[in-house]
Amino acid sequence: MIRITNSMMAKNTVWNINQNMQRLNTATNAESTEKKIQLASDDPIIATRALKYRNYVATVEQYQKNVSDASSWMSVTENSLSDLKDVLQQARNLTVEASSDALSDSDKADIADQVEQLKESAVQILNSTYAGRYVFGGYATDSPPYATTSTTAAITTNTAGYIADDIGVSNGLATGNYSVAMSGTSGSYTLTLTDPAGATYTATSTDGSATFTTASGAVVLEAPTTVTSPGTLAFTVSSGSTSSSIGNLVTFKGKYLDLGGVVSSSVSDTALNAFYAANTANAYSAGTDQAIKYNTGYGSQIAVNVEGQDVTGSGSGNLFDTLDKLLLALNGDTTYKTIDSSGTIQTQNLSIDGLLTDIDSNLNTVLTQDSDLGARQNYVALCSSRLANDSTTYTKLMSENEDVDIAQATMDVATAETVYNASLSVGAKAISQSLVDYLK
Amino acid sequence: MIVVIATFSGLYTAVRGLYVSQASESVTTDNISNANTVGYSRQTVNQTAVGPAATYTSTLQLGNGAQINSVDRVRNFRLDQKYWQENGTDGEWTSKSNYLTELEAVLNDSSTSDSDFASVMDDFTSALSDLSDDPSSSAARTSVRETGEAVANYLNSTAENLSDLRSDVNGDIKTTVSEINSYGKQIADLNKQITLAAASGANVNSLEDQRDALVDKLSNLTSVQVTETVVGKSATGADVKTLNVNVDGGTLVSGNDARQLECYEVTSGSQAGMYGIRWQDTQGEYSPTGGQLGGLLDLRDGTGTGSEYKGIPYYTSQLDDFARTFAEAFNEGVYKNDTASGYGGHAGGEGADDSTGIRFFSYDGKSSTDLMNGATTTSDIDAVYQNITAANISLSSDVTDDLDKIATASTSGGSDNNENILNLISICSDSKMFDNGTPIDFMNSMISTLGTDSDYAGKQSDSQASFLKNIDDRRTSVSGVSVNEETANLTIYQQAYTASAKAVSMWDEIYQETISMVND
Repeated sequence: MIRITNSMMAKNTVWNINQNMQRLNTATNAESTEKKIQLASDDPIIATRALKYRNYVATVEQYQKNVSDASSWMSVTENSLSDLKDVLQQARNLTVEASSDALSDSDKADIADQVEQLKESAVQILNSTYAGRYVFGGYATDSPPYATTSTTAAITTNTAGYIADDIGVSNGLATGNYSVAMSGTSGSYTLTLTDPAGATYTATSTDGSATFTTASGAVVLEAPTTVTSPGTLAFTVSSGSTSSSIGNLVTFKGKYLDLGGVVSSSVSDTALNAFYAANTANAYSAGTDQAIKYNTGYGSQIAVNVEGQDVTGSGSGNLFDTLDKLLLALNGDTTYKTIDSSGTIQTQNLSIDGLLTDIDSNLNTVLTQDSDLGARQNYVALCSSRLANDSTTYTKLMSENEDVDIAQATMDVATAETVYNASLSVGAKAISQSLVDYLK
Repeated sequence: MIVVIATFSGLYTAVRGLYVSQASESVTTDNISNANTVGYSRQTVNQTAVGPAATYTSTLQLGNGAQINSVDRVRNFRLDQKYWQENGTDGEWTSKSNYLTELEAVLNDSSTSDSDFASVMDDFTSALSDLSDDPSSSAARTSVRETGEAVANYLNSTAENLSDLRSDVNGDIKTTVSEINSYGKQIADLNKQITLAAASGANVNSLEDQRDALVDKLSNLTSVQVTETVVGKSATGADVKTLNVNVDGGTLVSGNDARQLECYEVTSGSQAGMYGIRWQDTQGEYSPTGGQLGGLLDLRDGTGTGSEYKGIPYYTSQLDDFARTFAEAFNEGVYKNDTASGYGGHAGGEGADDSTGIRFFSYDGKSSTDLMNGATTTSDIDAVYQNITAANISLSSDVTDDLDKIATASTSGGSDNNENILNLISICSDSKMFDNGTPIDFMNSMISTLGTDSDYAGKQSDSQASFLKNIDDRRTSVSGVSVNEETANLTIYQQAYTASAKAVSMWDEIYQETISMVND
């Protein structure tokens, strides 16, 4: 039989009360924080899982945000493409109308005005924005991609390589007196002549015309017939420039979609060549895709934008080329000039009927982009609903893992409290009696 | 036959009875008074009958009363030894459990916390994701910088807290060593006192109790092996024993002498700046394995390599490893051991101002140029990142000074070019970065290691405490004072005293009668 002392009983009572208090404490903590564990050491497995689930939930929330942004962006793009389709449809209708022979020139001029307006609308639509960013600009979303500018070509003359016809001026730079003969049919025209001593003469011809070409071409000059003693004239050709209008051209990101593609026949070859030479660096060439991608899920990304050049086309036959051709045709032109990549100027025939094919092809391009965008929008919507499911699932898992069931927690507290109270009352009785109380 | 009786022997026998009862009452009273004294062993009276003498005739032998041989101290040395052995383990686990719980608080591993590492990292990746949706937005850029700084600050402050905790443990070690020294000296002094007192016949029970109480306290601090040696006999004939205390292979107390330990500052190696422990006289190293001291040393020095305990240095080096690897992966797009990540890093991208080669993470706020210091080869670049630790990681000054330097784009131009940022986001969740997987996985595994170790230490501590209590109960069962028992003894001895007193008065009457018989 083991010997029990009063101090042992007291110590054991206190020990047991303490154990019960600990249990009560844990249960109360769980109930008030509504979490199963306070520190990872309370249950390391729950803690590890908790960290993982929180990470999942946070990631899914981020994806949902991305998907929502993507959806808005695509929505803006979709609206723009729809508007563009309407514009092209309207242009087509006008083309059909204009192809009727019964129209007078003034009717055609009216239609031309409308087409001009349509061209402006197209540019505006292609410059739509979403939250201040231009949607058709690829990566360059900070400035409008499309712009219409009235373009001119600067024609410069060159001092080298002129040959004379009836003027005794030879190639080269020999100084001396030269006479200049000029022949022409119309126009007033001024030549500045300087003699080696530096004196200048200006001559105005009433019937002179000169033909200038650039660099490697020949300059033919003829002095005015009104000059009485052409032999006393010295002649230098000095550089000057004139500018010649090419038309209202549309640029994409500051570059020409089809350099020198459609130009009125009234523009001189010189001007066209000059324009082409000056802008070879500004010809648009398709580089790498500038697709703006958003993360929409684990390992999945979606491109949210449509690039402008994919919508309008680039190179010959693009949307603006077609509209320009339409304008020229409505103006009465039957041909237009175009310059190819080797720099050769070609003249093409122009007919309003033929333009219907071109407009149809442009419409087709827009439709293709639209349906591609539609497919992507469907994918994004699918992602959105799948992410919503994921969010619910992971949140539920997270909560099941780390949150207490309130009913269970309250019961635990009640039980612990009962046990605690019982141990207090029983303990009190046990330690307060001893033999001394019973001795007389 | 004539019976000749020694005249007053009866009286003496009764008086002896009185003395014995009185002495027993004193011992009982002593026990009762000391019922709550810590470490007190109850004392019992060793009472024997006085040998019979030829009082009346040589053939009629009567007893001569009782005498007290000794007042014995009831104590079981074996139980004490067992207690002292287990107390060391208890001390070790308790100190480990306490400090590991503190460590958990430092690493903020509670799942209810909003400032733990997982949240900080989630905020950072969210900010990166927002920036990828709108690379030209300066609000999004600011957010990336702020959350990036939060990541660096978390690592900095955690590393600092770990370092402070290590200093605390170091301080505790010094305190513990001086406590051991003090106890050792006191035990040796008591040994001496006991030897002297016993030789002169004094009662040494309370001194021995004091000595045992000191060993109780000492055994919690470090693991002890205690042996008794007999150094002589007391005046009552009982053995006089001294305690010799060995600690982890070295003698602390031997007879009347106590050796001292001292703390000295280590100047080199992984424990530089911390205290080493050695014996003062021989300067030999002291490496305890158990007790509080053993637990504290494991916590302070354990690197987790091989079979070493995962103490604070383990967690510090894990954090450093994380900082280094993450910074290198984020900046350069290269993982450990030159594994190419398959994505470009921050340095490969272009900022909004077309800057390249900018590193996002650096240390001590250095700029990208200062950080890289002209390194170009992969081994040089690896060497650069060895400079980064969790305590000094920061954002590079290029990024903190100019938000446009955050490299979102893959090539220059295009304000909505977000290709590089998408790469960076992929890097943050790439499972090839660490052996355990993604950055979050790495930190999670560190926290779960800590949680498991802390849980284990807590459970060990609880079970050891329970076991120790069991042994202590058995000790108390043997040597504790039972008030009931002593109260019963009071009654018993009082009755015996009353009976002896009655016997005295009876003998007194007999003598009076005898005397009056003579007196006529």
